[in-house]
Amino acid sequence: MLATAMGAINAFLLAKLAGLFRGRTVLGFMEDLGAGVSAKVVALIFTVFSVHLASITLRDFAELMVTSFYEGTPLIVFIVVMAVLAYWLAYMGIEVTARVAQFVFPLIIGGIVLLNLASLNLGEPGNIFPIVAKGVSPIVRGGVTHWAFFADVAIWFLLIPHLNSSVKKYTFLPLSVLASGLLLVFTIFCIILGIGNRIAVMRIYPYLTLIGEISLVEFIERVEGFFLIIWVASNFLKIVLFLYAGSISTGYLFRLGDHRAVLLPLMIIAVNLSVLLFDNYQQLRNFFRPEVYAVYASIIQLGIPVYITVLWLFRRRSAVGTAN
Amino acid sequence: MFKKWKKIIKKAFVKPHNESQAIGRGESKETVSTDLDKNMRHLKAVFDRCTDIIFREFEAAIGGGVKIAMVYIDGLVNKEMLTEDLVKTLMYDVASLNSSASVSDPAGYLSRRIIAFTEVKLQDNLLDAVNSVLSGETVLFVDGVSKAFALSTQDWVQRAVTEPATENVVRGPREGFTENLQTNYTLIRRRIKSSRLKFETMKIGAITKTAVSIGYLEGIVNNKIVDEVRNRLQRIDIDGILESGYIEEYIEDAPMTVFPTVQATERPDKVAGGLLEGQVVILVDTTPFALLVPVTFPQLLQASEDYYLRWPFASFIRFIRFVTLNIALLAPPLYIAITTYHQEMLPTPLLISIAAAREGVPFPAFVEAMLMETTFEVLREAGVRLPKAVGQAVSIVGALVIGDAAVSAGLVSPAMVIIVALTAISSFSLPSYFGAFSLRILRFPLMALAAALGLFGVMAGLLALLIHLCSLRSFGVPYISPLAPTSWRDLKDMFFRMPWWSMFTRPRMTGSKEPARQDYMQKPRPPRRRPGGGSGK
Repeated sequence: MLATAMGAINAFLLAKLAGLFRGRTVLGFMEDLGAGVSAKVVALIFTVFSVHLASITLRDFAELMVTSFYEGTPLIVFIVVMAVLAYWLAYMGIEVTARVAQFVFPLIIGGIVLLNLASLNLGEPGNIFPIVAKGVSPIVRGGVTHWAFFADVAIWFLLIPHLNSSVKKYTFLPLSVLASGLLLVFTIFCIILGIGNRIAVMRIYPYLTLIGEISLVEFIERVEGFFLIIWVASNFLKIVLFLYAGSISTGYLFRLGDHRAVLLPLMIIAVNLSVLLFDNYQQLRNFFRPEVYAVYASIIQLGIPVYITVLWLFRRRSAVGTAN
Repeated sequence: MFKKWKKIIKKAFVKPHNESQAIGRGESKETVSTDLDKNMRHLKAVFDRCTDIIFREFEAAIGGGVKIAMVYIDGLVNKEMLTEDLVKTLMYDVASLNSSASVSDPAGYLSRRIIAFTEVKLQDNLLDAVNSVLSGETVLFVDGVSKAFALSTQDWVQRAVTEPATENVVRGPREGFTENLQTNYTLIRRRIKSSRLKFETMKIGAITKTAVSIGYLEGIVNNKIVDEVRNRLQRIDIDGILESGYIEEYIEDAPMTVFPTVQATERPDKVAGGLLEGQVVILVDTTPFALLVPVTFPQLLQASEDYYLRWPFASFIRFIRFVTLNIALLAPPLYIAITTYHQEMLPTPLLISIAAAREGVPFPAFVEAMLMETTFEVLREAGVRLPKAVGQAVSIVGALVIGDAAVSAGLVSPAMVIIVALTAISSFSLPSYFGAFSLRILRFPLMALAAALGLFGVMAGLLALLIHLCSLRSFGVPYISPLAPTSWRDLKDMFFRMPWWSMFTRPRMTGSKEPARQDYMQKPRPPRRRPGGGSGK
């Protein structure tokens, strides 16, 4: 569990590597390199990946809502409400999305930090041990799992050209990954400290269990509501970004003038997939095992960047060669 | 397809109204003739059956009795002034003037030497003369002169400057705008004694010809915003403007939203403050409500008093206001959501007391809340409309019946009454009546969402609200602007009101043309040695 730090650093290195030579979208960049066909392939991969991830996020979100807050309510209610909102925001464009994110971001981070701090008084220092009881391999395994979650960062390949030029493009990505990684480490630390390793492994949502335990001055207790707010807001932003990135790559794929036209179909596909892909939550969790998800994520997280790097090196050399 | 329909509808219902058609018959672009009788015939035809128009013809004691006619509206002019300065002068005093028989430019001579008024306009056109009469000027025709003289004799009954009804302050000026445009100019000009304060006036309304004025501080305001305001005002094509609300609906950025993207205010000090921050004011004759653009949502939560109180007090009030904003919007939906879906979230003792209070109430929480909120809105509206004495009676009856009788009859729970009362008081505490209005409306859909989906519904509603707010703009300025897009510099005047000596800059969105507002390092530093005696030893 503590190996999340490793995962964060992994992603940090990756993001730094990938951020070094990119000023346009990945697709425009590849086309400029003269690799038109492979650009199309990459666009296809991005489309599939972002729609798939959007649907998984939708499902994951809805599963938690149903299992923890709304027993008996059909999944599809939450999925559709979320998807419609996400579609609306994505349709409004990246500028409005950024403003919404800017507004929500302090709430999310502040909420997590507050909840963590509130849970600290539950802590029993003994819960931390044993630290490396079973050798290094579970740590590496956990690290890989979490590393794969940062695959989402790769969709920034598509979003970078929309950023304001004043943003320091090549530092914000690694920094944000590092920050979120640290937050994750902090949270997991609180979980282990608060409810202990054994329970944490058994529970599906250890963090929620932890929050349920919070009780301050006999009055502030059962604060799952705050968690709900954080959960809805953060998942919402994630889905919006996936949808938006998906629409950009689809728009590129079919050379559409206005990529917003494909948003609605993409959203409907994502909603359908989120219901159809998994029969139950166990399957979804199975999908997140490192053997499956990490390999899957590495296509976009490692495969494409490496491919582009090689392509770039090769083309550059040949360009230099012809110039001489 | 829609374009086709639009054309058909336009043909059937919208008649092109050019000026002469809209104004009525008998008015054309006819020039003023040298023949006095011809002019008078024309004017009398135009003002046929207008009993308040006065025509007065007399002979001046000059040049052997020149025939003169004056036209004005009874009640819009200062009659005393007319008698003393015009009629008396022309009939008696000019006799002593040593007038030579031949004057090369009679119109110029008259306006320079004879007509003793501060403002005299020479007009060639009869239509202009008619418009002058209608706006309260006295128009003078002289036989043999092909010009009309429009004298500014406007003086009508008007309300005195009183304390504004909507935005009250404990500390701060108590003047409010009046219905008179000139008075309103004065109120602003007295606060900003600078030649950079500009007012541009135009007439809007084909029939009412209401004077509408754009005011701004040159050099501070963003010229693009002024151009945009001017363009939007010039586009308005309507028969009449009776209040600034008409204009507001024509120049809004988002006509279909519940949020006001134009701020209406009665306070000249607020307008002056806005002008200093680079806003543009639109003054409309015949209404005390001025419009300020561009406006952001946080600005609707700021009162002018925030800037007059000391900053710790003002910051505290700001904080309270954000709390009340949330209560006004969210208290009933949260109550519904928690009592219907998330009982487990309440601490046990609170849950038990609420459950005990709700015992025996025949309605679900949603119906209960809807009932109470609707009743409250009805009472509120009745309180505004009824004569003051009756209004009080209504509110007493309402409070007794709704508050007490309904609870003891077991129709609603006491907890619900508390929630509704809290909501009501909170929404009253918001400084902008019009901003609070949008919250009043939004409460109802949020309540419905809470009843349908619980906290998740409220969350979804809030997210939708946020998306909507983020997508709004007011004259190019993002609606929740210091928050998102975040401008750290402007947060100084958002959740807190920082001390005046620390607010160096104008808001980035409107005042970036001349950002510096004051000198740095103005924090008061009392001298070490106290000037007032007391050595300290």
